Amino acid sequence: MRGMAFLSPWLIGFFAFTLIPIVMSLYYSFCDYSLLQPPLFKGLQNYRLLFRDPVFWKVLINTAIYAAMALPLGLIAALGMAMLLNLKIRGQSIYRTIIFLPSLVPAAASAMLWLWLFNAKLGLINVVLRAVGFVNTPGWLTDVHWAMPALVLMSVWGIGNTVIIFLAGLQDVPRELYEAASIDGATALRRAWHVTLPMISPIIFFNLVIGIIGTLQVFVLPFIMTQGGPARSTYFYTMYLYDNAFSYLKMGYANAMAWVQLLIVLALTALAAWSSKRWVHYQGN
Amino acid sequence: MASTVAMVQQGTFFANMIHHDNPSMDSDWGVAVFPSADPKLNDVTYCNCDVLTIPRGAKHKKEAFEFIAFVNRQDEMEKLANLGCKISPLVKVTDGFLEHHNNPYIRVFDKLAASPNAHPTELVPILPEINDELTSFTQQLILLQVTPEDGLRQVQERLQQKYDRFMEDQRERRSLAF
Repeated sequence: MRGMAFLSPWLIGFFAFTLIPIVMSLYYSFCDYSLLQPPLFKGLQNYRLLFRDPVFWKVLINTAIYAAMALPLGLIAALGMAMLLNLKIRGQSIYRTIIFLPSLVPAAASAMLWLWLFNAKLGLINVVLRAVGFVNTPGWLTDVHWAMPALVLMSVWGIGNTVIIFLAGLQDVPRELYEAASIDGATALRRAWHVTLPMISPIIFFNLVIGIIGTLQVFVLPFIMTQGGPARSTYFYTMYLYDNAFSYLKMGYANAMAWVQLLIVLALTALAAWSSKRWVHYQGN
Repeated sequence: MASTVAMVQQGTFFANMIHHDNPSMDSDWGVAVFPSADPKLNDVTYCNCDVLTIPRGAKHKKEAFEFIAFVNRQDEMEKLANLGCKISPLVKVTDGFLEHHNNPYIRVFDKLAASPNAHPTELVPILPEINDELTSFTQQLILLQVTPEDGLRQVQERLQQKYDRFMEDQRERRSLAF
C-alpha cells in the first residue's frame, strides 16, 4: 500500500496525461468530433477520407522530401562539426559554445531571425549573393522552388544538440585504436572511415532515429515562417494535422492523422533498427 | 505597390496603404468594380463592418455607451471614415463628404455599398477551410501552376464535398437527438 502511495504521483500522471489521452485519441479517430458537440462514432470514415484527401498526400510527400533532405544534411553537418570540435585546438570550448548557442534560441525567435535573413530584397543572404555577383537571387521563402530548400538549410542552424551527442561519442573512441591504425599506415581519412565511424555507429543510429522522429514532425518554423506556402509547397504533415484540429475543429480527422503518423514513424524506426544489424557496431561485439 | 502586379482585389482602406507605403503612386492608380461570376448581376460585393460592443459584465457601461454614441455621431463618423479612406456606414452623409474625401474613388465604393447585390460575408460552417483552399488556389494562380477555370473547379469540388459531409453529419446528429 505504501509502495502504491509512493508510486501514485507517477501513476496519476501516467494515466491522466498519457494512457487515457492515447486511448481517447484512438477512439476519437473513429469519430466525428468538433469539441463543440459530443463525438459521433463513424467507424473508419476518417481513415477512408484521409486516403482520398489530396492535401493529405501533398503534406505527406512534402514531409518525406523535407526529411530526405534535412535528415542526412543535419547528420553529416553535425558529425563534421563534432569532428572539428574534437580537434585539440586553442579556444576549443569557445567554438563548442558558439556551435551549441543556436540550440538555446527559442524557435519563434529563430524563425523571425531567418525570416529577415531570407528576405528576398533586404535579407543578408541575398545581399551577400548579389555582392559576389549573383544577379538573379532566389526569392527563398516566397519562391515555390526555394522555400523547401530554405527550410532545410535553416534546419542545420539547430544541430547543436546532435553535435554535442556526436562529440561525446567521439571522445569515447579508444585512443589506442587510432594509434594502432597509424602504426599500420592508415591516413586520417582511413582512420575516420575504419575507426571513427564504426566506433560511433551506435551514436549515429541514435541520432538517426531521433532525426527521423523530429523531421517527420516538423512544425514550428514553417508554421511561423511560411504558413505552408507558397502554394502549399512547405505545408507539412503536422501543420495539416494542427489545422484540422484547431482551425477546422475536426478532432476526429486530426486524431486519425496522428495515428497514421505514428504508424509511419514506427515503420521507419523499425526499418532503421532492422538495418542497424548490418552497420551498427557495439563495443564488445 | 512593389510594382510587380497590375491589380489587386482590395477594400477602401487600401488608398491609405498606397499613400503610406508608396506615395509616388498616389496619382497613379484607379478603382473598378470587380466583375461578378454571374454576368447578369452588377455591383456585386461583400460588405463588412466593425462593430462596437459593450461586453457583459463591463464595469463602465454608461461611459462605454457614451463612447459608442460619440463614435456614431455623424461628424465623428465621417472624420473617422475620411481618415481611414472608407465610406460612412451611416445612411446619410453631409454635403461635401464625398467631394472632399481622402479616397479619390470613394464614390465607387459608396455606390457598391448601396447596391442591392452587396452582401455580408456568408456564415459558412467550414469558413476556415474555404479560406485556406482559396489562399492556396490564389498562390497557385499567381505562380501560373493552374488556370483560373481548373483551379476554381477543383476548389469548388473539394469544398462542396466538405460542406455536404458537414451538413450530413449535422443531419445525423439531429436525427440521433430525436
